[in-house]
This record gives sequence, structure tokens and C-alpha cells, in this order.
Amino acid sequence: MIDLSDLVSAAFRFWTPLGFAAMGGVVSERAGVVNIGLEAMMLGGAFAGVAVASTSGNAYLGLAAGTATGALIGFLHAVLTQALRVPHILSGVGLNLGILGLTTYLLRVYFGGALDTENKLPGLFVTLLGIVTVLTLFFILARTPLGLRLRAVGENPAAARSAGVNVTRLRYSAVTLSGALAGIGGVALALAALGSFRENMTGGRGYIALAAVIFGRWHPLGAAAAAFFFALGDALQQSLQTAGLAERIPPDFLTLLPYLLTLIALAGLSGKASAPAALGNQEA
Amino acid sequence: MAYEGLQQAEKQLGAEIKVQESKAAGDYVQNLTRFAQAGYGVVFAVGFKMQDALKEVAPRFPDVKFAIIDGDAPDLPNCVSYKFREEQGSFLAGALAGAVTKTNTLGFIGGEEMPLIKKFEVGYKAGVQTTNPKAKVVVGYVGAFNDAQKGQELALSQMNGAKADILYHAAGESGVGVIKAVQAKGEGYYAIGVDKDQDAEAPGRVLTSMVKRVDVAVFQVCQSVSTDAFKPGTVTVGLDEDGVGLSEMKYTKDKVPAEALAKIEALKKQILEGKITPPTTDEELAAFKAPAA
Repeated sequence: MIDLSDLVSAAFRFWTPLGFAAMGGVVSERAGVVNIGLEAMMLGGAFAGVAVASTSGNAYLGLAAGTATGALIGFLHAVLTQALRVPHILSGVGLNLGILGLTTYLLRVYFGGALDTENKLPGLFVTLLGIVTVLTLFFILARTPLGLRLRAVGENPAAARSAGVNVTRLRYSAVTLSGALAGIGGVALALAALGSFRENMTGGRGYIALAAVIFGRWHPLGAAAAAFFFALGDALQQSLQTAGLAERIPPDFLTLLPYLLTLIALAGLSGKASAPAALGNQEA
Repeated sequence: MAYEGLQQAEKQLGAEIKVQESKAAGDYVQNLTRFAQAGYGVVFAVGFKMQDALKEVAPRFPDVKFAIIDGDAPDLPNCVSYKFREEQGSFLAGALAGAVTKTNTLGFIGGEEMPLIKKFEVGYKAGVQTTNPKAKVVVGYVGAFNDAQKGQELALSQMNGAKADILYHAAGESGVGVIKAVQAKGEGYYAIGVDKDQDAEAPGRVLTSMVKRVDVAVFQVCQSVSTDAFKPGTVTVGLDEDGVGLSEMKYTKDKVPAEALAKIEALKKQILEGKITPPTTDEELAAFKAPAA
């Protein structure tokens, strides 16, 4: 009744934007900076990606623009949380609202409310790039001196500083990279299969990605797997609707299913989840 | 669409217009109040979600007229409600889809399941039944009106998994994904647009659009206020007065068999004459008897 290869390929298409954003979340949070602003970085990346792809006629320029825009918003989050000592959650939520307003405004004023382009990125390329990103991040965090320093900054910044690590600089880099990754996630959402940008099209994926980070215990492979779990849940509930299950089970319940599973999974893990010790600390 | 009606009022009636978008449901009361206080002759509340806010605000400003689109107005002399018979236009869309399908399987993709969207769904199903009793309709809900990716994936699932070849969406911006998915599948597949004429979004791949003339409703209210002819109560517009209807099918008219188009015209006439009453709920759909051809 449900074709397995259709289901898995849909799950991978749902996974790609989430996976990139979740990796962004891992980088930022392992450096001790809470990043609830992933949503803003995705949305900004998606907007810039489609805007540049449609005006320049080149999808890869769109990818570059989306990445840069995400990085810029990430850098802003770093300035707000590190230089200005704004509480991390507040900065992230502020960015989410601000970027939503800004992209909506630009979309309506300059593009008549809708941005579409034929210059799309190959979906398979973007998904493979996502998998490579996960593995690379895993390797850097676990096996390189840079990864060790980054983790130290998130666990015990004072000790890291006394060992000669430039905590502030490393955090700026990590949060900016986090934004770049989430920006690619936005590009993956808007410019791979769709080729469109619409108002608030990320629809909460940044928050789901952050949940995947926590669910995956701040580990790149764990977060990627958690994101895939959510993506598979979405693909599955849609297949079930197509298979006619919506006739018997309310569709509202089916669309809720992935989130319900998340809640149950998180509740089951709550005792064991261990955030970086200095995550969200104002003092560094 | 509502905004286009206001722009028309601005042009033709010399009205001064202002638009405020509510960021959250909590802002409805405040925004309505601010507009009423600002001295506008008529304040529009667009969407059924503003129903309760209107009930709260309207009694406090008896000199200001209020109009709500797609919702119930409180029983007050300064309130009017505009509703659309979406089921009528959707019926015609379904009848056309039933006549055009090659796979005898059609798709419906809604934004969120609620009574308003249900009218699109069951009206469509009844239309399909009427022209093609053998066809079945696959139904899916995206769960949001702004998620183009989920709209696209659901459309792919209906086309690949259930072999649906014509997909009608009532899913707002999620429907962008439905149209993109159909466009990518290409020849042999059609989307049906909604609310505004979406035929040009993928020329040749959007069979028709079920157009809902919110702009006409808004303009009518503005006109009634400017000429002191405002009448409270509920105004329901359907195929009559062209409140709803199919688009002109600029890109697809030649591809559709002439007898199918003639059939749609005949059905439209029957609805206008009251011989067919398209259903609005699952219960009405179960009781609906397709008229003899």
C-alpha cells in the first residue's frame, strides 16, 4: 500500500533542511550559546537564496547568498549574546520575530508577495551535502584539537580561557558557522525541490531542529538521527493520509503524530539528557 | 484579495484605506479597536478567527460599521457578515476534474481540517461523483497554510502513491507546493488552484482555479457604506453574483473536451436554479445524490 522507496525519499527531503539546521544548533550549543534563533537563520537563508537565484539565474549563487545571510544573522546573535550580554533565548526569539518581519516586508515590497524561480538546486546534491556536513562535524568535534577547544568553551569557559583558548573568538566563529549551516537548511527547503519563497515558509522548522539537537543529546550523529526521526514521521503521516487512513483517523491527529512522538521520546530521555555545562551562561 | 477590494474602493469611491495585519490572535481586539477609534467608516475583519474579537469590539462603537469575511457577525445593527458558498465553486471544480481524469483518482489537499475547508472538500467530492461515479478522491491535510514543502510532498504522495492525476488544493501558501509538484510531474497531471486565479502560476498545468471574490465583497460593503445603504446581517454569495466560480481557464480551455465544458455550464445552471445543492459537510455529502446526467 505504501511504497517504501517513495517514503524514504520523502523522508530524506524532509530531513535535509532540518539536518542542516540541527548541525547549526549543535555547533552553537556545544560552544555554550543557546540558539533558538535557528528559525530566523533558516528563514533568512531561504529568502536570500531564492531572491538571488531568481535574480541572478544561478542556483549556486543562491546557495552562497543563503549561506552568507544565515552566517550574518548568526554573527548578529553572537554580537547580541557575547558583546551585549543579551540573554540567549531573548536574542534568539528577537531574531526570529525580526527576520520574519523583515523577510515578509522585503517579499511584499520588492517581489509582490511571492518569489519563484526555475533555477533550483538538485535535491540529491543538497541531501548528500547534508550527510557530508554531519560526518564532517562529527569528525571535527570528536577528533580534532579545534573540536576539543570548542567543547571546552561550552563546558567550562573559565578553564578553557586559562588554558589559552580565546573563548570569545571561538564563540563568535561557532555561532556564525551555526547561522551559515541553518542558512543552508533554509536554502535546502526553498531552493531544492520547490524553487519558491513564501512568507514564514519555515513554519517552525528551526524549533524542530533545536528539539532534534536536544533529543540527539548535542551530538552531531544523534541530532542528525533525531532530525531524521521527525522527518520520517512527517513522511509517514502523509503516506498514511494518502493510503486513506484519514477517513478513519482525524487528519489533525496524523499531522500531530511526529510531534507527539517527540514529546514521548523527550520525556523518556529527560533524565539522561546532558547539555553542555556552560550552555546559556551569561558570564564567560 | 480583500486588499484589492479596498484599493478599488480607494480608486472609485475616494475612500481612505488602511490595513493592519494581526501578528497573533491576541492582537485582534486591539487592532479592531484602534481602527474603530481612528474614525474609519467601516472596519473589515478578515477570517473566521476574528469572530470573537468582533463580538467584543463592535458593541462599543455603534457609529462604526463592521464587516467580517468568512465568519459570523454579532447580531448588531452595525455588523455585516459575508460568506461564500465555496461548496458551489468546488462542486464545479470536482465535476470538471471528474470529467478530465484519466486515472479515475483525484486528490484533495486542504490546509487544516475545519468546517470552512470541509466545504471545499465535500463540494469537490460531490462534483466528482456527479460526472464520474467510478472515480475516487484521495484526501490529505497539510496541517498548515504556510508550508509549501509539506504541500509539495503530500501532492507527490497522492500522485505517486495513489495515482491521482488532478489535485485540488485549499491550502493557502501550502498550495504553492502542490502546484510545483504537479508542474514537475508534467504532462498528464493537473492542479486546481483556489481563492484567486492561479492558472498563470504554472500555465497549462493548473486546470482551473476556484476563485473566491473577496475583493467584490469588500468593495460592495464599502460602496454600501459610502451611499448610506449599509444593511446588517449575513450576506451569502455563491455562483450567483459571481461570488465564487471557476477561472476562465486561459491556458487549459483547449485541452479540455468541449462536452466536459458544456457539462460544467449545465451543472452551474442547475445549481443557480436550485436543482442541485452541493453539500457542505460530511453528513450532507453522505445524503447527496448525484443528479442524473
